[in-house]
Amino acid sequence: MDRNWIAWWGIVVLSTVFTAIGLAVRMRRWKNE
Amino acid sequence: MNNFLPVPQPDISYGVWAISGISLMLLVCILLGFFSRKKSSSFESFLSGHQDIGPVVTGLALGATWLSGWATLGMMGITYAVGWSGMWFAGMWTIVGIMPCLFFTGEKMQFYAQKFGARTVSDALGIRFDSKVVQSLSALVMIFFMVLYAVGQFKAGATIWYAVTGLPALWCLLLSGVVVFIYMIVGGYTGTQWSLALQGALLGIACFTLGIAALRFVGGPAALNMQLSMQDPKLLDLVRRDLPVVGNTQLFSSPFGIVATFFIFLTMATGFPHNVARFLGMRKMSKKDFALVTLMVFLVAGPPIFLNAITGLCSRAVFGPEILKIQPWKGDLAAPFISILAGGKPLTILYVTGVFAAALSTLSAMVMVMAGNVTRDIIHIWRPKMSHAVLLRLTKVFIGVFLLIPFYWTFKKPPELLAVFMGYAAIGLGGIFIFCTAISFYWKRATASGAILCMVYGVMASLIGGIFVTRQKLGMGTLEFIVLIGCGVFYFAGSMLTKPLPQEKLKQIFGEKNV
Repeated sequence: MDRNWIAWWGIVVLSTVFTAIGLAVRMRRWKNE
Repeated sequence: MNNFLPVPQPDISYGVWAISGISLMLLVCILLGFFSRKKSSSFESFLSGHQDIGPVVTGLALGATWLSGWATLGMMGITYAVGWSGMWFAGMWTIVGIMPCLFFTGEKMQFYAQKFGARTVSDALGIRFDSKVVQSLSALVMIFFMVLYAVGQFKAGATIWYAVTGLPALWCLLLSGVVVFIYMIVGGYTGTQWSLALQGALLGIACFTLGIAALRFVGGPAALNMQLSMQDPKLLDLVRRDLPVVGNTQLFSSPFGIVATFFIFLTMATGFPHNVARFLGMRKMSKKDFALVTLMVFLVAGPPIFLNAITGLCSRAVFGPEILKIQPWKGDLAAPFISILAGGKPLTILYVTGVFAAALSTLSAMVMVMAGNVTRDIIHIWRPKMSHAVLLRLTKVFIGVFLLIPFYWTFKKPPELLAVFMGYAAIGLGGIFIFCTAISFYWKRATASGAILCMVYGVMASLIGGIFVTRQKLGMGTLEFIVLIGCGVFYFAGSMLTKPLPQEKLKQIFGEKNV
């Protein structure tokens, strides 16, 4: 796989992780509200 | 030496099928409009519904308003024109933009709607700062930038009509305008919210399917890059250092410009009032509701949009630079034409309907926000005795006015590349409202003076800076930082140097225990 596709997949994976972490943090905060 | 395939000639049979697909979508939307019409009889409910809209509809609608003609057409135009280096500005940061809007701004908007009866984003800001001036000024600023953004939606809708019918530009524009006007007038906010949800689902499926089909058509990832390399090795560069580092090409030609694309996307979803307004009509969310909204937004705004950059590259590999010669649509025709070759009529109808859904959903949401801004945040606030029946009628008149302005603009001087043109509005709205909306909902010390200074600076900097960028004196990435950092400086300094809201007021807004 060349660097262009690695960069593309990198952003796709990071965006998914970003969403999962964001949702998890938001859910955690929910308990304390 | 190049074996490019000929650019498809618009063919009436495609036009007829596309009209059928779009008509079906609009029929459903108009039915939804009529269905909700009985409910939207008052001025307030016309603007923001009845706060009873569920999480799936809100999530899909948020996805649809976030993704406009820029996402479904303009992004492909960018990678088509400059190659892989266009990827950064072609929506790869989509999730980085929309998720913070959902996580941080959504619940606050809902809070302002439910506790204080906010009906527009400016209304919420007026309540937050206890200032009529902030409310009216923010409405004007939003209108200013959204007119620019609306021009882009008209061009997207019209480009699609051209791709499938080959009709003259004026006819393509007229078709877009008439359709939006009809469906806005009969629907109101609730109808729009339901229609938006339908359109969000449709555009997500369309872009995802097109991306996969286009990649298969060129023979897969390796074959795509090989064909691009044979055409011009620079198309493979992740940073196009051969392009000028001033003007809009800075976003593709320098690491500085590429970092700026990250910040443009990060701030603009929260800065777009038509996105944030989606939460005004939503019912109180449970944890499960919130997870569902997040999932819906991710499904619509994630994978389909990541693939858009690839679709544009596939189009470049197949057609070479020929599409750039077609006036006035140019690179924005990259995606519709590859859909004709890669998927024939079924895919083209799906895609064309999807783009139309995206452009119309954003345009109608913005027109609704602009019309509401004038009646609620400018007229009603300074003339509170005006009857609600007159205000409702005025809102409908302004819907027409705010459709005609961008329509005329697109007709007189259509923007070259959608994404770049709409980028200016994104820089302005994002730079200003990331502070005035998102941060102010959490930072108690923010004051009306800070917000006013931030808005005035943001508009001036975007306007003057935009002129310098188009004259190739300044990079578009540099402009993003000038606007964003400057807005931040004016907002924080202006707030710290002036008196905060009284404790009583702050307790109402932020809660007893938080003050």
